[in-house]
Amino acid sequence: MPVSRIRWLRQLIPPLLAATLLTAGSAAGIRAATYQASIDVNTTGFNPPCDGDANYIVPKMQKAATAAYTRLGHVATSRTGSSFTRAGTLGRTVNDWGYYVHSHGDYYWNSTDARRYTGFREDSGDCSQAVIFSKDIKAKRSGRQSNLVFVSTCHASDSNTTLPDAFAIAKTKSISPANQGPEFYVGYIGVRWDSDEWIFEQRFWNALANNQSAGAAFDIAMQGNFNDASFDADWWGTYSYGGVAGPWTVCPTCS
Amino acid sequence: MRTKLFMLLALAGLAVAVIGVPASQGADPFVAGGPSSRTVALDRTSSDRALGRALDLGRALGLGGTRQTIARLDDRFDHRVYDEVVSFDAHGREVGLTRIDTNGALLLAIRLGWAPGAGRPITAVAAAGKAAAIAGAARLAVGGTPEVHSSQGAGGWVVRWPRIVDGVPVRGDGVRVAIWSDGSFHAVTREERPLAGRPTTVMTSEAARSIALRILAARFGASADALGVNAVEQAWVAPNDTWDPARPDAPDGTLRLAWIIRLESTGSLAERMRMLEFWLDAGDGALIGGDIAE
Repeated sequence: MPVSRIRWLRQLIPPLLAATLLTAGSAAGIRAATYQASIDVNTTGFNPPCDGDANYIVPKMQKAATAAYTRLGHVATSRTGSSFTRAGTLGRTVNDWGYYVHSHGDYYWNSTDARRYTGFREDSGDCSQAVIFSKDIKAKRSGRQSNLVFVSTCHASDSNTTLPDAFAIAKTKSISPANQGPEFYVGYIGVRWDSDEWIFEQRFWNALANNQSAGAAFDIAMQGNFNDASFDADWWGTYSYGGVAGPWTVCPTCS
Repeated sequence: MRTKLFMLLALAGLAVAVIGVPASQGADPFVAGGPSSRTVALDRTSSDRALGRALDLGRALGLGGTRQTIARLDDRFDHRVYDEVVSFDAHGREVGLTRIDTNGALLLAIRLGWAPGAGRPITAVAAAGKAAAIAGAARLAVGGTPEVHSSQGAGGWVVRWPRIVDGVPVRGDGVRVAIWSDGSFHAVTREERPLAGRPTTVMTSEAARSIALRILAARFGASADALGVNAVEQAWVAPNDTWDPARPDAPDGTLRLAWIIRLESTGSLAERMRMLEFWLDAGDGALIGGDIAE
């Protein structure tokens, strides 16, 4: 068989699965159609009056992430402004299989516990934005399995990050034939520029759309023509996992 | 095998019937939310040439693989067409990916997977030497002292030979080699995007700084007091829509000579925005893009 045809057939697998789920009407099909993904994007913090000028990169990230999770089979809903709040995020997280957030992130001091956790700020529609700590998410999820988690904030994948654990994603890199289930966490290291994050994210989502695994998509995205030569990101999870919603039923990258 | 193929084709027909055929995107610019690349026709001669080149590179770089797939992709985000060859091992696992432009030049080669190496970690100096050897194996010309930095995402080191034109760096361009911590090959990229003509008259850095401060006052109002200039430098950049939503969603394909004015924030503003950059056309001072670090 010509090599290009093999690739063409591979590209048909997701729409074929989608068509099957749409038409089957089975209990399994109904469940698969309801894998929730939340996309939380802080726009208020990066627009007037909070920082003085409009940021036009953030809405692009929101659109791209929402479309990407939808392509992966999630029921994806994006929230920003007053609908992206700490309470709302923590209320939804237990049902999230996929999660994307773009905000201001850091390794924040938690005065109650007298220690630091990785976290990010809510939007809340105003300029006083509460921190959502990893421990808050962890408490709500109680070890519940996640699929693809993309934390588009500074410091989200620093070596001391506590966010993967909140989503029950072990900070290990599993390469085929090893796997740690249908889970993949990706985030940035240190302080990063928006334009480089946008280049990374679009390349990542595009590779997933072309049926690359999440690990390969990360590798491809890392080769971007970044403005900052020291751009860096990291991941944990199953390299060969394709980002498809729900528990593994088939390995999309296996022949 | 034939039966399985027939079933797949039948299912493909069902999928097309249910989902519909995607409309052609034609020459439309990239729009956020959509994929940036799409498969386009590839003739047998071009396919054979690209596969041959990819196999040569794969052998030189140790990518491995027992079979390959090839597709020609039109990438509207990166403004180019390239042939992408994916290599699979005997178990069907993806082990390598190569992108070659339509002239046969290497754009990108990656050894897929995560293999930080079983050997002893090497030093930055040794990494530079290893990277030079990798560039040579890929027949990429590099010279001078490279930039070397450790990288978690690369699994070890990133070694760069930045592209410099008339003493001015071209942001994002050059040869970049990623190697695992033990010095083995991970990835190599070659980026050399087209440049617009150099302006006949280039304004001074003082003039550029003055324009940037006027823009800052006009756009940031009271917040401007919390932002201070910490760098003014010249570079070739890809204009973008950071300060102008009317510009396309992807960075421009042609780079322009610019003055870059970087400002750092203090106080409560730094809790939302750490730094920003204004990119000014080096000839007329027009704001052609920029950046924000949140």
